Amino acid sequence: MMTAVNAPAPAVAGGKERPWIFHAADNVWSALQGLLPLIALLLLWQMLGDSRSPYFPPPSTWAAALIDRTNSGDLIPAVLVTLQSVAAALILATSLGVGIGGLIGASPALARCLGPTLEFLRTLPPPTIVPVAALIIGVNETMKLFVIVFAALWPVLLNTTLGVRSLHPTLLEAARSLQLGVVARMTKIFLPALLPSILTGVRVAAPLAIIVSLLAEMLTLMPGLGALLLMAQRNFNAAEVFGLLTVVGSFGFILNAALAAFESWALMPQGRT
Amino acid sequence: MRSMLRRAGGALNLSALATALVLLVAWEVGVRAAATRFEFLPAPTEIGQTLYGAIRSGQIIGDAVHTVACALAGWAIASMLGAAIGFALAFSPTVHRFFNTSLELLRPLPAVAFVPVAVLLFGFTVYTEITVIVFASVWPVIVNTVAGARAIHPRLLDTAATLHLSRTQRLGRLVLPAVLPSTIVGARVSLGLALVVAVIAEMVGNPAGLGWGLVAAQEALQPGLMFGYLVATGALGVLLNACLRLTFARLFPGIREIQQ
Amino acid sequence: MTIQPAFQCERLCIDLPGAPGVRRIIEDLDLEVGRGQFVSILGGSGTGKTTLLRALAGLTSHSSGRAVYEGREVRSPVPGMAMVFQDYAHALLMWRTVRRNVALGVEGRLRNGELDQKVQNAIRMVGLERFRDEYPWRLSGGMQQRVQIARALAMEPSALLMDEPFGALDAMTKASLQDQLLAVQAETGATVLFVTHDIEEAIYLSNTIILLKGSPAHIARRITVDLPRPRDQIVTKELPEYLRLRHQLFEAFRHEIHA
Repeated sequence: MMTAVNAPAPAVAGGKERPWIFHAADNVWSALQGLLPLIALLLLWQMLGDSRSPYFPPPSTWAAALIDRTNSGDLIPAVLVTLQSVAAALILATSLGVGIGGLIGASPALARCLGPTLEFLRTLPPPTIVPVAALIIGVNETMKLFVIVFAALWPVLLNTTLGVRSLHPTLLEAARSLQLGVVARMTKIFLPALLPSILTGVRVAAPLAIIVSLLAEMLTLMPGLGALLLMAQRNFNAAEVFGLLTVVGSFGFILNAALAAFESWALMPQGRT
Repeated sequence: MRSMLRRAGGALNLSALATALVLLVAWEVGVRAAATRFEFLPAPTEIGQTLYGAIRSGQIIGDAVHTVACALAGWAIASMLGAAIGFALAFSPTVHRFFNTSLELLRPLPAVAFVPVAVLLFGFTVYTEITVIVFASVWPVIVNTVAGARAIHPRLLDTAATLHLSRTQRLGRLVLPAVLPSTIVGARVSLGLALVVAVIAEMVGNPAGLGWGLVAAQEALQPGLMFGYLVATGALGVLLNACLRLTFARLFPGIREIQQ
Repeated sequence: MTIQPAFQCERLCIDLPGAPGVRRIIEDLDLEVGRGQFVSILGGSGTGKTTLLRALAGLTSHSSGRAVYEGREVRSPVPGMAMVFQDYAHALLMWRTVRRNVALGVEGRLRNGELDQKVQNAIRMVGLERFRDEYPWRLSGGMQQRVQIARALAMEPSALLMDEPFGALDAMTKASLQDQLLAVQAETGATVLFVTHDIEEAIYLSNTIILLKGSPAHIARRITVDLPRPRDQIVTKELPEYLRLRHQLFEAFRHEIHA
């Protein structure tokens, strides 16, 4: 009677136990296999490419261009500035989105009043906001933050609203019948229960934030990765453009991986990962 | 996702209209009374007049036609390419083994960052624009196709085995029809993306269409026209999405995800 | 001097909003429940058993009449009362361990040592000592329901309100939890209000059974159960008195069963 049905799962399912090192080796090998075409392409490019080509300079010249940029002190500050803008905007968008989304989810009256207006704002493609904000607010950090937040807000807001709506009535009643105060209800019940929805929203918002940040930097030439890319293109420095493209790609990849890791860490106790 | 808030708020209702009206009037009054810090912020009435003028002169219409044409062309290529790649990944273990990780590595590359590369290769032309659109909107089609193939229930394959279907028959009669809905759902997501990326590409790559109109109005310090372009782009997105919804619902009456 | 009852209802009426407008669920209901009693509220589905319980718990407000607990009018959840819901999966916080779920209602009100001791005691009463650092989603349904009961017990309630707590469990688990509930009640002396649609469960557990009927619902009958305690799943259920009550109650529901 007292056995745990889904009790702590044994580490290795099935009868055969293999040392973890074999699994790790398998994983590394399959990842390498998956990368083979890309590696082959780059190698071929390196061997056949002409390092003076204005269109397809081989990968070694990309690295050289990136090292040049690093030595001249441009690259690392640019990465940091972009990262800072994206991170600050994501934090701001998350707090705003959770706040507004929570209120709209909890109050049908508010949803009726604001829903259509918000829906209209949402249909504006975020990139189109960039030139508008540049003219109205001016070319400064506030403008950049504003346009990124505008892009990143919607996924968080929508997911939070949906999350609030799908909170089970029993959970709300349990909170009431335990006579928890407003603050305790917020921090102990609602926020943890909404966490999966909020994090899903943030995951969707992050790539949008990067895109809009880069676009803002390209259009206004404010410091950052986007401006570096555009300047390299204007100078017809193909090697640098390709090099920066790999930097931007890694930037997005690492940010996404970091968010995914945070998500699975934060949701581990909920058994939802 | 798009209609969640709308569904949440119900259809257009009196309180929503009142809220929107109050906001607009506050904006108008704020600008007229010069109460805002923003010297270039136009009043809603000014935006309306400029937009009307730009539509009558055909300027915005021409730009919109260019943007939509590029978005549709890029989207068509991306859909076919995406379906082909998706099917190859889903049904050939070899392709999956050797290409999946490489594709996963390319996927998070932001479309904007791809513009300078395309500009280097194709110059400030329509090819740049379409290349960027294809690159950005191919992913949802691939991802959905692969997911659709994964979701085929084993029972369906058992059915195929008990019916003694040949390999080609199994593919044509069971597998393709089972996966196609997911591919089409992916393609629908792609179109929305294609329009947005077209505008981005026009802003920094190909000087034409709505994206360029917007940036040009900004650089010429014509805030009324700029907001006109903004409203037009938003409206176009809604319109295109609605058309697509109806067309797809007509074309594919058997796909549940599309019949909403 | 008469002893003040734990619960008291006087001409209690409850209306709930429905699709065609407001619907009267409970009409002019009078009820008195003595302290330490185990009272089951029995009725067919949709008769308003749960609504009555929720009104007494302060989760649903009544339209007229009085609902009183320990001399105080009930309008919102009152200290000293604890509620156990049927769907344990949604009533527990899946991101907290068993121990921290049980502590939810009392933490922040007690010093750490005292809190630990209360939580331990509650977990012991439902027999979950081995699983106190486990997450609820790793436990079976019966064990999750035990966690919810322990959470209520940790508040040391003088009244325990239970809304079909064993309705979603299999027969074996149900029997074992019934016995545990009886043991807990004997130990704590709490008043229990127990909503169920299971006739045999009501007889086995209760001192008094209240039969709700009609629409709007009223108390059709009040039956005193005179079976010796401690009760036993085999012996009690073979007593002539048990069988007589069972017969009587099934007879009362005959038209609903055959409907």
